[in-house]
Amino acid sequence: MGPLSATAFVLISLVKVIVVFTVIMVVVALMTLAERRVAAWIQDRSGPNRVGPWGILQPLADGLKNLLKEENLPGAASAGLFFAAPMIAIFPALVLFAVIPFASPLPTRWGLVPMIVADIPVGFLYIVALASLGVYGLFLAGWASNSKYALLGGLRASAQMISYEVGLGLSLVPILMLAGNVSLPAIVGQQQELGVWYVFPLLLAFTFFIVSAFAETNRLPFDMPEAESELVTGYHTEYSSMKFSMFFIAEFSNVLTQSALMATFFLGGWDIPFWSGDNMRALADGTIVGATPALWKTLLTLGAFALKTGFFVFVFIWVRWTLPRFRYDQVMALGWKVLIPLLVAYIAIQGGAMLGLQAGGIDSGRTYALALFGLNFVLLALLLFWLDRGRVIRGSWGASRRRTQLIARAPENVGAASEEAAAV
Amino acid sequence: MTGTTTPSTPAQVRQVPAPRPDVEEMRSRIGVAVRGVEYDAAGDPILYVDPERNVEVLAHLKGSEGGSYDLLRDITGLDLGGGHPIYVVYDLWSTAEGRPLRVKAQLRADRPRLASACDLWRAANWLEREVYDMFGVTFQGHPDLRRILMPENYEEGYPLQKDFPLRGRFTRAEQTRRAMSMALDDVYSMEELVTAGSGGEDGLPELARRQMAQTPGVTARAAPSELAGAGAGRDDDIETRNMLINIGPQHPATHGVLRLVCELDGERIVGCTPHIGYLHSGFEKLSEYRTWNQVITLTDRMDYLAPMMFNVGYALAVEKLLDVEITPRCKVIRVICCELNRILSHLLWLGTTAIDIGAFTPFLYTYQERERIYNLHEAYTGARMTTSVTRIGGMMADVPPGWLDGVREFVETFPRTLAEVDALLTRNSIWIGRTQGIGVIGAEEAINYGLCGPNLRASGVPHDVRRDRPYLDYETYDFDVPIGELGDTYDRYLVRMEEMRQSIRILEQALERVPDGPINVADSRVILPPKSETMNSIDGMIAHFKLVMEGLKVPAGEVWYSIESSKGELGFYIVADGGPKPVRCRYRTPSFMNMAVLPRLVEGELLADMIAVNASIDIVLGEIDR
Repeated sequence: MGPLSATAFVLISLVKVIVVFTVIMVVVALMTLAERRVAAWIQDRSGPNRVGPWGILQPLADGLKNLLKEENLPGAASAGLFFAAPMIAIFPALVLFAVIPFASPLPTRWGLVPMIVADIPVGFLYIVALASLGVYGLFLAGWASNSKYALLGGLRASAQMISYEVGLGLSLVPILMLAGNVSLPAIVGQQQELGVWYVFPLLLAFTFFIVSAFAETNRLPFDMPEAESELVTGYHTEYSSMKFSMFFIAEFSNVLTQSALMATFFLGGWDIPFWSGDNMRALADGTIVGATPALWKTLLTLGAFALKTGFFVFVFIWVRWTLPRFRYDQVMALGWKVLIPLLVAYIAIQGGAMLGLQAGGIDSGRTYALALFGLNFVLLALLLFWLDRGRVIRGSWGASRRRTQLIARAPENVGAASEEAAAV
Repeated sequence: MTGTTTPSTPAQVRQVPAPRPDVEEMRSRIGVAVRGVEYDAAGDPILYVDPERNVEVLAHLKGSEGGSYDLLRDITGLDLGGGHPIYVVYDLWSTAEGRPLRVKAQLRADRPRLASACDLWRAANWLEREVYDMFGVTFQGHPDLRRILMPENYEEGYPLQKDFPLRGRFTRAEQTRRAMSMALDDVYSMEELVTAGSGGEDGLPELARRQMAQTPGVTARAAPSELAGAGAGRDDDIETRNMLINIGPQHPATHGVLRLVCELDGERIVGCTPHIGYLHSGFEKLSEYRTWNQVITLTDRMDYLAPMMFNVGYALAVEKLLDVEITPRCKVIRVICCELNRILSHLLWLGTTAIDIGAFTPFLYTYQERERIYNLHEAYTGARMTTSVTRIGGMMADVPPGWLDGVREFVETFPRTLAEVDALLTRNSIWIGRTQGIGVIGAEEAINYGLCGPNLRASGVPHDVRRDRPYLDYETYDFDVPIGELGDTYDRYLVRMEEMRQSIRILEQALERVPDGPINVADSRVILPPKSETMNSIDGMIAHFKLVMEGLKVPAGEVWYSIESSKGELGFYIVADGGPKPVRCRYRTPSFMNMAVLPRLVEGELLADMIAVNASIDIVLGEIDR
């Protein structure tokens, strides 16, 4: 099988764009349902289960409702930006998906079709660049609403997202060091070759990435910009109808994209573990390295990718319904004073370790990966130990100490007082 | 079940006890300022003082040599009508010695005036504002004397004066017309004016400027750098202005219709002014127009989160006035009701506090448990929130069969849920980071602000009415009073969590000892005789007739009776003249006192902290606004 002809490339790309967009939209709709059902499950209640079997048509009903709701434009709002903001918010979340490979290459009549919308060689840079754009939507929404709550939400959103982008970008640097490539399909291929997913040799990077991803998506415990108990709903306080809904679509698309990124960067993307039948890599000229591609393999790997992404989506939901919310200054302190310095130090340590190992003759394979895993594990344990001692946020150690002091017995003078009162 | 009979409290004596030495001593010391001493139905001393020298006497009482009545529990008014003078009543409590003292100042009805006690107690601020609002008493030297429960532009007069008609001085049509024609921006509070004018007077609306000119002491600020705590480290080239943000009356985190006007520098709170009164229902006025038993239905509408406690507290106060000793079974049932409601109320606080700090799930866990208590309410009284469970002299009915088993099942299973929520929050780093060291108030200051209940105990003051002045035989139950050390939001959280566990302990003991026997007193002055007696004996017939036609009659006198409600010390100051209706029902509600401290707690904190602190002081607007 050779490379695709130019016409085929254009047509197939078009098909891929439409299919992927549709699938994302459907998945996002289902995620709203999943969020509500999982929340209900965690909270010991039923959740939406009336519209269709298991409430599966609930998102449809919600969508219809939102379309029919009254459009609202506050008198003091800046109309143009007010309308543009939801669109700007939703755009980066959707286009980010273009560079994520979601299955093994598919052999077709016209040639080998890579299962990725745009196999650009600078996938990583594309992600870092576009992820930054998302903040404009939220900030403009907050500013254009001309409402104090929305403004505070917008300010928080911009400060938080800009801060954590740095963390997000830095936590990906170890991957680049390990993979030596910025193309996402190549990163998946590297993990297959290494035989170990990057979550192990880069455990600490994974931890930092997941924290940054939560902050980037504005999900609890980092949902400062919305913080409904403080800012009503933050930047989208003044929005109604479908524009309001679009912010939610943007948030869920972001969650989906970040989950897919985590799956790709750290869990081997569409790789199926303990099976070499899917270890294939399409080169730029259309030739394939490794196992033979097949339709059933594409479907299987697609399933693996969906499972991994779904797992992270679940983690997003799970965390949201478990933890309280940080405070704004705590979020910023965590980002600038903890995450970024630690990441820089980590990159240095990880780089040093890799150089050391390579100097020792180990530069690939399982031994290499396991050695790095050992290092990461120790570092992570140290980090958690340090965090728990309560420098940034006071840890549970402090709490338990105070608690024992608290439950004091009744004071001595009380008995006397009651006797006296009785004597009156 | 046949439990042991509870040991009865010492006879609730009516006769006037020997004058307390400290009072006598005081009379000798300040002489003319103290005009007389009296004792109320509960035997508590009442000091009549010279209105010109009230602050002098109060300062003496507050100071150590006068007996150290350090806690100002209440300031209220008393208008007997018919040309009688107006009284201002101070209620003090000595935390060290655990006894109360009431101070009364008699004022001229036509121009009531008195010196403010704000310099002695910060707690006097809101209390004096309420007396001004309701009785028209002007407190000289009060820093911010304006209406508190009624709207600031209320023109009908002072509602609790006796000659004020129940429905107001204006006709309905006139009231409606005024309400409709009022411009929304008409009323600017002093704080709003001050902040709005922080950039000079230029940007102000015409009306605000006019109002500012009329309000003494308010001037537009020249430069923002003069604002307290705001100017430091700021680039002088950039002109900045603090933002005024209105939180409420409709806001997810104000727990009802509360409005907080906050001045923000970035996200830091420079000042915060609570505006209350949106839920003002005039219960105190209304009580004067209802018979003694009818008032019970008003009490549970104040703290609808712990309705039975209010029922019980009111009934106890009136029984004190009547000098009626309720039956042992009734006492234990009332204890069960009270402690169930303490858990009910604390659970709501726990759930909503968790939501306010961002953890949604504990809210639903606690609500499921609350649902079980509501089911118990329903099984007993038929109502879920407005229980009206007590009657003067007993309960509305004996508990239905199986009800105590329902309580027992709750007592056995509830600690599991509590432990679950405890596991989710108490040692959670984010929770700790959000609550520790936030909204700190020390013991001395807490007393000065008149904080009460768990909030006061969290600051390390071990004041619990159940221990310091036991009612319903609380002294025979074995329970601990948890206290905190720092008085921060986390301590308030821990104290309430522990109180729920202690309530379970009390419930367990109460369930063990529920005695058999009648639930109501066999006193035909207060409780209808049984039907058989009404039908068969002339005495019963007469008692029934008199009670139905004339109503319960409470002998003339007054009492200040307090119980430990879930939110703090709940006081009932009730004055009777021997008639079928109260002359004055003063509800000294704990949340009112706790709410007043909020501005002090949140100053300099972040906006998010204010939400957490506001949640942690556990307010319910129904009883703040009454």
